[in-house]
Amino acid sequence: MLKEACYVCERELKHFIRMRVQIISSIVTPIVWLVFFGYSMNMMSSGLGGINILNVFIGGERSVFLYFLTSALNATPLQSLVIQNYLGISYLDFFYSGVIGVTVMFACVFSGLSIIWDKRFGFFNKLLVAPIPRLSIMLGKTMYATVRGLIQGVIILGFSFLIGARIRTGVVGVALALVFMLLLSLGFGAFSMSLGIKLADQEALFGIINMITLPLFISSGAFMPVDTMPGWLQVIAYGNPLTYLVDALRLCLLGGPYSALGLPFSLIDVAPRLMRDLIALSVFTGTFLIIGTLLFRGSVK
Amino acid sequence: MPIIEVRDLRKVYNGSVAALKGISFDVEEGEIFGFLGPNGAGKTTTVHILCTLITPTGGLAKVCGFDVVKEPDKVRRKIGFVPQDISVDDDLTARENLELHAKLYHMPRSLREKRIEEMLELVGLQERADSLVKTFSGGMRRRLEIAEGLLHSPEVLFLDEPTIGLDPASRMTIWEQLRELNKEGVTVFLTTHYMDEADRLCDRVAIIDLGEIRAIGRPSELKEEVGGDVLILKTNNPDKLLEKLLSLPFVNSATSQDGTLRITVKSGEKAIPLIFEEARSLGVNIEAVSLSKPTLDDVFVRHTGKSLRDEKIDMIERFKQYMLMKRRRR
Repeated sequence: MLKEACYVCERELKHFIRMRVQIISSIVTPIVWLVFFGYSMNMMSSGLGGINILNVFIGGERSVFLYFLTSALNATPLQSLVIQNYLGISYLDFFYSGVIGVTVMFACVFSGLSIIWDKRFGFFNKLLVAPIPRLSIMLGKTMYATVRGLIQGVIILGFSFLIGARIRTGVVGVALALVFMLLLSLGFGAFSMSLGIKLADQEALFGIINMITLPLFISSGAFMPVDTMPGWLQVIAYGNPLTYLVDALRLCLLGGPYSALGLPFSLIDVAPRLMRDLIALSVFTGTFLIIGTLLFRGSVK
Repeated sequence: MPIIEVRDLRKVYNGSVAALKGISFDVEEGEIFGFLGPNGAGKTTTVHILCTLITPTGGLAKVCGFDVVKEPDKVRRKIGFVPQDISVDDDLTARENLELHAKLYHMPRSLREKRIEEMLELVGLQERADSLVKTFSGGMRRRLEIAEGLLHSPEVLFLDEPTIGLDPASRMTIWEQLRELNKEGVTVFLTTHYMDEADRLCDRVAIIDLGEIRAIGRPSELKEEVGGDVLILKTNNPDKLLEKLLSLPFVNSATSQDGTLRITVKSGEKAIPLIFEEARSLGVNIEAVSLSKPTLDDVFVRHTGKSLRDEKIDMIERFKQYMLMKRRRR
């Protein structure tokens, strides 16, 4: 089963490598976000007295930095402010985890297209005639989505690092971040496959994906902390799987605030919150893996 | 034991569209068996059922002794499938397409490379083996498709419209390759709406229309049933000759119209000298003679009341549009 899925996945990866324009665009777009948006917000927050401007911009009571610091430390805003000044977290530091999350989502969410194309051009039948377990076809395609999400996420992570965003937790944090990326890639891959199995033409898939990605993207907390959103948007945010990935990445890559005391930035401080994210993402991914499997079983005899 | 056994096979789509209304036939091992019929006759449905792609509504279908519904995996190991819409992967090279196929059929690595070379040679694509399929012509794609169908040495090869939309030279090449392979013992099941293809390639043909098999047999037998060859004679005394001809045992029918005689006989080649002899003994002059053989289209007309010729344009047009769509794909 797994072996056959790998063959299917290998084919998809070969396609991906040959679509140069798609590779370039899938990497350039998040880089533009990162550089254009990340840097301009950075200037506002650090160049002009930082936090106040950012507060004005976001219109919330608390700053971007306080968002995770207060939650992690459970500290009062005043205490957090002191630590924030000491740590000097830039908007770029806040933002890059969000861009990675969004990149991972966009990398996976169109993967159901390949099922639609294969159905239209008969390749799907060829796979079905082969003496392989039926599910290995879906598994292979979902694997491809996952690998692709991971590759693109890592590229953006590397690029963020190059332009000055900081990873404060070291190797363990990065490894953990990869696990979270993998989990959500798998979930969005399975979600897209479920759509691909059900839909007959690619326009319908494009329509649905475009309709849902924008709200997911904006409500995810990639641009601004969820805490600063209006209440109704927070409700949406907490129902959005991307929110948990962005949050988890931020915690994994920036860690807790205790380095102020001279210790390395710790993941242990944020462990409960990471656990919450892990559970939320597992539920999402598990649900769509099951839905996808059932739909696939139902569609092929 | 027949290698393909079909009994009262029925397929109803969406609860109302009857694509197959209970067909039965056998295909013997080593045969080239053809399904001849127009668009929508149920040819593709039959092939898809036999290849385990869709489940029949009723009836029985066995391939290599295995039931296609109950033991699909065992059937899949024994068959090769060349679909109507060319479905080799455009964005892989010919070799990569074959490699993927070999892996999906669990061929061991050592055998894989040898077999791929053999197949590339068989279909004459060695030189283009490492080019992307999107640079291939329609005929080359079809040949690659056939190579794929054969790669894992199936016992039965199913081909759905193997030469649709191809130029005459490519069609000939594919016919030759199919004959070659048939000599090596592969049973071939193909569908076609080209009567020349059914006639020249197939050992036996089933005429199918609107989900029913109307006739089945060797092409030569089917054509003989039409009433034999047609002779057109021009003579100076048609009435006298007609009278004599009607009394001859080998003449099936004879009519006279405006001084021209239309005669059907079992074998035109044998009948012509005999008719000439009769005419000479009667003192009648034959000015001109033409012989036409009945085609499978005549057979088709006889069994279904309509001609296959009108269908052709539709199918080719459809195929062209498909190829266009495919090119726009990425």
